[in-house]
Amino acid sequence: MEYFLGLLINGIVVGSIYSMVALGFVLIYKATEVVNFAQGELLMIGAYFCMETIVRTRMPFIPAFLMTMIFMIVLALLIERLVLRRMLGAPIISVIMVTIGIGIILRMIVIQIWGATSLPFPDVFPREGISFGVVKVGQVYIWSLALSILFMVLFGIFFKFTRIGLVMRATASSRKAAESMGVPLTRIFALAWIISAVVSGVGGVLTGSIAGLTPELSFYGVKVFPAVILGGLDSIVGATISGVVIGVLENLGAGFLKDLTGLGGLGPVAPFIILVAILWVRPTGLFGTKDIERV
Amino acid sequence: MSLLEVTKVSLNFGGVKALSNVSFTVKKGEIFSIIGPNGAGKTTLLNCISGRYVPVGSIRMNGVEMVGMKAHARPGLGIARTFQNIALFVQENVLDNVLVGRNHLLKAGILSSSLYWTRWGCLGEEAEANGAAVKALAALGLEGVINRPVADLPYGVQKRVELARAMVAEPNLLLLDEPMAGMTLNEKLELAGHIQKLNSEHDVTALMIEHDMGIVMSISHRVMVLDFGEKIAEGTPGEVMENTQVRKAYLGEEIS
Repeated sequence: MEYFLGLLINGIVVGSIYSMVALGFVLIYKATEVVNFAQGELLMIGAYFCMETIVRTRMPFIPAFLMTMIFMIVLALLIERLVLRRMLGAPIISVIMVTIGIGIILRMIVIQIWGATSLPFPDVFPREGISFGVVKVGQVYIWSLALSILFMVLFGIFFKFTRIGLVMRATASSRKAAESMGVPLTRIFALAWIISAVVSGVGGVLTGSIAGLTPELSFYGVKVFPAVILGGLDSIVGATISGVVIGVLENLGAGFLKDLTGLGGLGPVAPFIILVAILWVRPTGLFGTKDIERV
Repeated sequence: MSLLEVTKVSLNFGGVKALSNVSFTVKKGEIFSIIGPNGAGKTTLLNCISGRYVPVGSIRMNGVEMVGMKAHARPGLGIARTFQNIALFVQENVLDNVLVGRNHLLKAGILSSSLYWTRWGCLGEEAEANGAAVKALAALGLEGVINRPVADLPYGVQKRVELARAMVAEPNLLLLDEPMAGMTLNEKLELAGHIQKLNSEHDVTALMIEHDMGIVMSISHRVMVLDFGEKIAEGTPGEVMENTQVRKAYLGEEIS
């Protein structure tokens, strides 16, 4: 039971980070129809930037965290302005290929600067855990969960109740209609990239502080994919829920399938088994509406 | 007093001449209709005016050259439009759809407007936008469906929501692409009445593409006929009906 609860809590925490990154993924897809394969690299670079800021400037965590967010905004603006805006009107598949390229470049930059081996993330959260009945939970987990929830709620409010949120939803729904109403599409695309980069950066900092830093963090972009497909590529709510579901399944998979099958390392595979199953049964995902079909 | 001046507009799609040398002017305060067989280039022409296509030639709104300007600059010049196949924001409710139409009149930037809610306790210009949206909906008899999701509404009502969304932008020129297609006769008559009312009471100039000859002839001040991308006639409904070229190219088809 204790073991199960531990796995469950770990799954929820990791899952909430997946949710946040998945949300960034879905946002870019909804606004621009681009599947952003550089999502994981954005997460990775956010984590490294935050670590470097703390180590180098001895800044406390909160200002370093804010600095990281500003860095992510600038990075997103650069990517959008210098690369993606030039791709406007190009076939979507070309833009998707370009995001893969951006991802590779970001990963190489990280390896150049910080090397390919793993580095510790500074201890920003107190080490001792807090007891909840039978299980003891590390504070880093609690903070991660709280921060991801906070960011998702803020994002939800922005998207649902502000005018720019409404304009973004409208643009996702019909670009030509939004444009005819004076919505400058390029600015909305830029905003989608900014928000997406910021949530990925936050995800990176949290993941980094839980698991340490390696360039392998960029693999999160791929890990988030099952969540996005489960929720539906164009569903914000779906991404949020599915992130947690995938996180929990991954952890339970890691913990239990090992004993059942005698095979280790099934955890990371579990989400992809689910991914294949979803694509068989319901290609549009649980909450998705369109476009993805079995051929 | 010409509001819109279209001069020698041509557009090719690959080798196909979609529009060749089309010129006309729309005067302030009139309902100007474009008719012609399917594929005559009517929607293409409307898309050139609204900035979706970039043609050769000149299109001026109040003297301002629009060819080459981005589509999203049109509302600022006083142009709003509806679409042939309804282009509502299907996941949103009626009020939110119409509020987007008001977007270009709001001055606050991204940062400050993130702080204002669209729904509750809205402030300043956002409240004004809400008021304008409700008024535009009421003008088209839609006050009863303000909070309904647009996807739930019948086709004819959706078309009216789209018109309200265009009207809330307070345009000088309204581009209507087949506003009555797919409607029942009663719905058509009702919508025709709304268009006439907007024209006479709100001073809106309308440029309309429509297939229903009866309605076109009864509400238009002037009519232009396109065939294979070329203008073959222009005049009052009476003049156009009399034109033998028109009868042959277009009306003849319908009668036979």
